[in-house]
Amino acid sequence: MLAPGRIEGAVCFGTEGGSQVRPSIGHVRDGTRRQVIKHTLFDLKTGDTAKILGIGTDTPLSLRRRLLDMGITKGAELRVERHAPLGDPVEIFVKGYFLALRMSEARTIEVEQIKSSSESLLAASESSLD
Amino acid sequence: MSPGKIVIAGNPNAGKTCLFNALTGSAQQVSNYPGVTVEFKSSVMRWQGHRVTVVDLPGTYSLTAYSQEELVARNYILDEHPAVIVNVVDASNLERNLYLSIQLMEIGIPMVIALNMVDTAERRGYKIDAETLSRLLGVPVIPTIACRGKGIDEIAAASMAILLDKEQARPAPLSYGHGVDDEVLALTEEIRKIPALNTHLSPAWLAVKVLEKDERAVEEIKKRAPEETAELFLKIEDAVRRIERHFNADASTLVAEHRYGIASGLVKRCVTFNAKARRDITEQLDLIICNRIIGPIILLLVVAALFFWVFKVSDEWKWIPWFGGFQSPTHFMESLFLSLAALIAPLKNSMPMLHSLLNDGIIGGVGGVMSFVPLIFFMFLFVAALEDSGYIARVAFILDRPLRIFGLQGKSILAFIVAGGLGAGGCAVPGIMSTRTMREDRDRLVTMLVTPFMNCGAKMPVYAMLIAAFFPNNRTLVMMILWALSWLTALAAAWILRRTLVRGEQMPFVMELPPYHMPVLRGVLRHTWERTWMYMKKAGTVILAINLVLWALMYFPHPAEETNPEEKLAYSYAGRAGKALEPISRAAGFDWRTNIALIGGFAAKEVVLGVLGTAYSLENTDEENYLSLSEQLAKRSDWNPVRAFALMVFVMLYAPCLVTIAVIRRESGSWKWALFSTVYSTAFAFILAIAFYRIGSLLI
Repeated sequence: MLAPGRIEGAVCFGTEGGSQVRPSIGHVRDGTRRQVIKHTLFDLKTGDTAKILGIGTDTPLSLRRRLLDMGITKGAELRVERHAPLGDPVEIFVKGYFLALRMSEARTIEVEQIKSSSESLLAASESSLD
Repeated sequence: MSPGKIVIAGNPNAGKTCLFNALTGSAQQVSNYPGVTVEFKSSVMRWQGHRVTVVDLPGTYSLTAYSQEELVARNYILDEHPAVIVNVVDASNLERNLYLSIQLMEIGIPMVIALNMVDTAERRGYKIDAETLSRLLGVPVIPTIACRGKGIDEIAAASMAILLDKEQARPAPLSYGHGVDDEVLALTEEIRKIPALNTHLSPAWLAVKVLEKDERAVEEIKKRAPEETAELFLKIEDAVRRIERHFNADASTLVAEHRYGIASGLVKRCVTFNAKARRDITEQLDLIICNRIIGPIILLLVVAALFFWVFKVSDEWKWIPWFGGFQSPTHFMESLFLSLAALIAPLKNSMPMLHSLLNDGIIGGVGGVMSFVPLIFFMFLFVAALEDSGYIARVAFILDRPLRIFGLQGKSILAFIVAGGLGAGGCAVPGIMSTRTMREDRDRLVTMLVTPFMNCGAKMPVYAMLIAAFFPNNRTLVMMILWALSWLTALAAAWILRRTLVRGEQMPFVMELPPYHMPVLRGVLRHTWERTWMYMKKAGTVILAINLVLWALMYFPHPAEETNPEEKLAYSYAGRAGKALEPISRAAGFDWRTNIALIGGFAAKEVVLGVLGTAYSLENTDEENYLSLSEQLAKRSDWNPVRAFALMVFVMLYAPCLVTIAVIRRESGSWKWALFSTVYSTAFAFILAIAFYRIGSLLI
């Protein structure tokens, strides 16, 4: 069962957040802000593994649905595979397949970084069939 | 008595098309790019004396009506109410595929699951318990390897058992968890109370959809029951609010997450994973192919290989030592039509008009086009193999960022490639149709407007003829220049359009990178043959008809007294029109004969070559030394490489052919854009042709 209240308000991301600056090559890396600002896929490095916390609440419904349809669901694990030659789009491994999305979309996906690059391919989710 | 239909639904790249072909034996393309089969295809399956219609729906990830394909798939199921849904599920990617299965189950139509590509899944270390999965879902689950024909009979048998009412296979009811289920049940009851909504649409399905805030479902309710819905919508709003307060989350997100919850629960119970499985081939390949430095180099090499492949294989067999002196396929086609021309030569004196009609109108026109069939065939073969391999999605991944500078996106690349962007030899018509995979209207419109600039198969013959005549030693180089020019023009045009007429923000780009697989030879050949056949059919129908009309325009009015052929042509209707335009077209170096050809080319670019052939063969009095058009032009003093190049540039860029214009009109939904496309590209072409002609003439 899903516990209530799992999606907290996004602290600082999306269009009005501090991560407004979007370089076309490479990506923002600012170690000091990590503790303060909620991570998004945008902040992850190649090879990082992370758990998805949710999709930003101010994301347009159509994009949110699209991301959900492609398996970007709360609790799922993702691994950053690589970035395209110009640093954007980013390719991730999620729910057993490879998905490419732009950095602007990556910024809407809130994640919690997992230190160890675990081999778990099947995403964990609390719900079951019953 | 019609026993109902079978539809095949599933994720893109799950192997639906393979299964469809295996069930029906019909010819259809097998493609690896997400969403190539936008229009569904249907065929007939024969099974133990029964004939059943099988429909292959476009591949979708969901039924939320996010894209055109989802809409097509969903509406087809809802409107046609098939007897059985065969859901093709990629066993190596079970969880995401089951997400769609769950949505299909919600509709409540009997279902059979084809657990496809079980061999790939096993290689990747997954072992799937099909029986448990079947028991949990309440529908038959049959392991298959569709591309190798395994499990096809079982799928047919299971579907037919349902169709003939021997089996039930009603999907098991789904649970979205406490709090949501109650609301779904309550809303289902409310919807059931309204007779207008109690049609073939399942009330439970509608209830889930309205909780998801699905706009189409809401519209559907409003359309079917405009009076009684005010109260219903209040209840829906209440339900949504209660759920959102309870879970502190958006209702549509919750429903989607619960579906994935069900899917992952199923995976946990039915799949065992052997972690010792070796690293996937796709991952290893992508380490190189999508590498930031090597990737773009490989892309360039692939394009170069395409040029090499097409020209060397179709037209230059002599480079292979053991074919020394052997004729190439292109030469074979040419000599075939030359011998036809020789066959009718005796008619020339007895029936000059009939001879002219056969020789200049039909053989000259159609033959010129047909002699490029080998070239087109090998080009399509290469592109089809690339599509089938999964590489095209990587091209989109690598090129998305650079293309975005011009207001396009990674998926635009598919349209460009199908239209001939990898080299030459595509067609803008399927290219424009492939933009349906783009949900983003503005990106899509700009892609449609610039796609016709690509070097399609119809422009190839004109290039090949002119290159053979004027650049015989630099064939590949000139083709490369033309290729680069088409891209530069397309990108520049997109950039300008995006900043003037089609302004607006860019839309999201979320795309699967499907696993690589070896192109299946049969599928690739089938695909290639279909496209080549389309080209040949066009040569035999549209182009033949246009050639005949143009021949008549060039033959009539026929001067009574005997004059030389050039004066005869000048005297004809076409000659007069061409001459009237000559003062303008001279700016780009085109004479009146070229003008006639270019006017014909508005209908189809293939016609340009045919008409040039006709225009010059009408003058060719010396039948003893038959010269091909290219040889004739090379000998003429009024033609030179600069003029030839300006003509190639104009042919590349000017108005899309009639069929393309019709498709732009259909896909953009208005004549405005179709007309705009015609006018702006012709203007673009003329300006550039003048520039190349003037600057080139100065340099020579």
